[in-house]
Amino acid sequence: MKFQLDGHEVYASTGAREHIKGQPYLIFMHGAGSSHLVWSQQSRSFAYGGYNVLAVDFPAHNLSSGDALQSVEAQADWIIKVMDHLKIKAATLVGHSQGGLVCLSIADKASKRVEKIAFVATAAAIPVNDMLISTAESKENRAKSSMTSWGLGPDAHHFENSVPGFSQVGNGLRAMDLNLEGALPTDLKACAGFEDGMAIAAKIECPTMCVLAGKDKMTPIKFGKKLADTLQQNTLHVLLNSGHTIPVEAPLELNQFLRDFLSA
Amino acid sequence: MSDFYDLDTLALHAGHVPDKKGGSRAVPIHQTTSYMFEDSRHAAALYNMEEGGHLYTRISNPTVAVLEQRVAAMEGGVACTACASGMAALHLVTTMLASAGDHIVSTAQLYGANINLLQNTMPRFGVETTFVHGRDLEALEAAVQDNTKFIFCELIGNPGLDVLDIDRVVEIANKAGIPVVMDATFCTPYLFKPFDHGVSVITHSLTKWMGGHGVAIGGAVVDGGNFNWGQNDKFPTLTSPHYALDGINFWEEYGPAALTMRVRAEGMYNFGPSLSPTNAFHILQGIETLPMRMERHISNARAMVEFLKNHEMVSWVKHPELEDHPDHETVKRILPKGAGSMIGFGVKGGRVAGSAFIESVELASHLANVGDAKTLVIHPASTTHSHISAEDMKAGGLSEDMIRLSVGLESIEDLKADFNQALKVAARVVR
Repeated sequence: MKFQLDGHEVYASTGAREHIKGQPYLIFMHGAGSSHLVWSQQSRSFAYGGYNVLAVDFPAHNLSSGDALQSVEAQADWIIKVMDHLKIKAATLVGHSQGGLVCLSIADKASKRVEKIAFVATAAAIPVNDMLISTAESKENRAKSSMTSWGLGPDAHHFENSVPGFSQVGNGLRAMDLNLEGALPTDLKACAGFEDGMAIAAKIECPTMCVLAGKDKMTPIKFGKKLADTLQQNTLHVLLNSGHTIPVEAPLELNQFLRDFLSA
Repeated sequence: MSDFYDLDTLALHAGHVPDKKGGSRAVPIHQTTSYMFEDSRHAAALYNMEEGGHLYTRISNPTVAVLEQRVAAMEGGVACTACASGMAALHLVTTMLASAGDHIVSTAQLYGANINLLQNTMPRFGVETTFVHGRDLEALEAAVQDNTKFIFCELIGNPGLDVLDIDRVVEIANKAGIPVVMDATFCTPYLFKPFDHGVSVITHSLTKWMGGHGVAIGGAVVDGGNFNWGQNDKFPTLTSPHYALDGINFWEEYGPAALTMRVRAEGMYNFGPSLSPTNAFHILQGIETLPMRMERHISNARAMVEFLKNHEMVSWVKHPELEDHPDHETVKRILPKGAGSMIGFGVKGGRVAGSAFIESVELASHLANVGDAKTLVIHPASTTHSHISAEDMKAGGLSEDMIRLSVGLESIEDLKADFNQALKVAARVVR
């Protein structure tokens, strides 16, 4: 789905299916330097599973134009605008990594529009190493390579895959190349600057689920567990062998967790 | 330490993690046609391409997938689709990107079957190809039309051994907004990484150096994921709604892997050029030792070049590493690890002497293959390129007296002795 917002084109995958009136909405939000492509095994699955899916590209990411948004709060405001534009009263939010921070911020700004939240490989705060930010600013390709390497678990580094013939390493690197230059350092700085997550998490009243990865080098599991412990109505799942990029490393497991969470 | 495993490691490990249930260290052969669905939802999910998995071996198979993932890893691509042969690979790419009324530009220095497919078969389906000498880059650029879908080439032409200045070809393609598709059979990822030079799609005959043992025919399409299919309106097969799957737009849904998903959803589904699981297993065994074999192929080839150059019965020798090779400077720049283990040479006395030589070798095998662990010889004019006109043969850099030699891994002293005795027989025939 493509539409105009604030003078820029916005792309959101619907899983290649038309939205159907009356179906619940499911909004997937990607992490820093990523795009809707990280959700390619969720968007179609839930589009066929009775949901109106939106896997968005934030501005400057893949098929969405415009400047990259400079803070998590700005990303949350943008998602709320997308919901307004599409006349979505409320939705379940699914956020990966930085997308999880955006979920927290939306819950803070517009709690009535949030039905449930699934946090995937994320935490209430994601401190970013200064060296990574400066590398992303001066040698973006070097930063993309490091992030792809750290973002994938041991099976992905062995090119083990549930999609026949795919390389998660190759797809991770090339998908980042589709974003506009400068999107990655802007994302990383936005991530680093988000500090209110724990206070917001403590106030969230809707059902939540945290799916964390045992081999996560980008957002170590101990930070995700702090978020899980703080949320009031949370279900926690840990995928011991997955790295940070759960949606592509463990898609079948994640989809089952999501189905159970959504139907509970 | 680099961010990812090196080629030597990937050749052994990529694509396979021993499963917890069986624990088999070697890649198991999944000799099955089809796969159990967990339930109705799972069955529908596989048909709808909602999530990964195997549905039917014509489309994908777990053993074949290990091979695909290994080749994708070694080439640095986003995905790979293995198929029945290298020719099936070129057919898949051609039919996924081009439709009736479309056009391809190709270098003329190609394997005979590649020429045949593009020159004789595809025009019957409305896809025309303009062939241009790989060294004439102005002509190559001029040959690109509005309806051209890609530039096809081999880095090391078979069997003429011309080496393409691929960096300049990629520049021409980029300017035209079209991808470069390369048959990389002769170089393998050990010698050359096409995606690092801007090539967007690789086809392989896995039968040759990759498999390396002459026991299994196979091919592959490797997707570089580095081409923006949405930059213009030239690629509707990837950027407009598909005829099935609820009108999926492969570029929007899968981005860098759009071509692979179309190959899987249409190419494998409708044409069915699938690779057998057992052949995939055999090729995997070969790939495990590719880096070591290539080292030996290269060192033996260099020794044979020296031997042939100095033999009184040899009228000429062609190898890209020789200083008198017209592409020598390009070779030094882009093939630092070696320019392959193929050698062309002429036996004094022409066709009769060449025939006597081929019939007299005892270690080398006279057959229609290259890239085997064993040394192979053939006379292209009467075999692999017999369907190509004399004019096209000349354009491809071939001569009537040419012997094509694929240097194997035998003791170099034994090889030299074998060639020496066979050349002596040729000398006697000529006298």
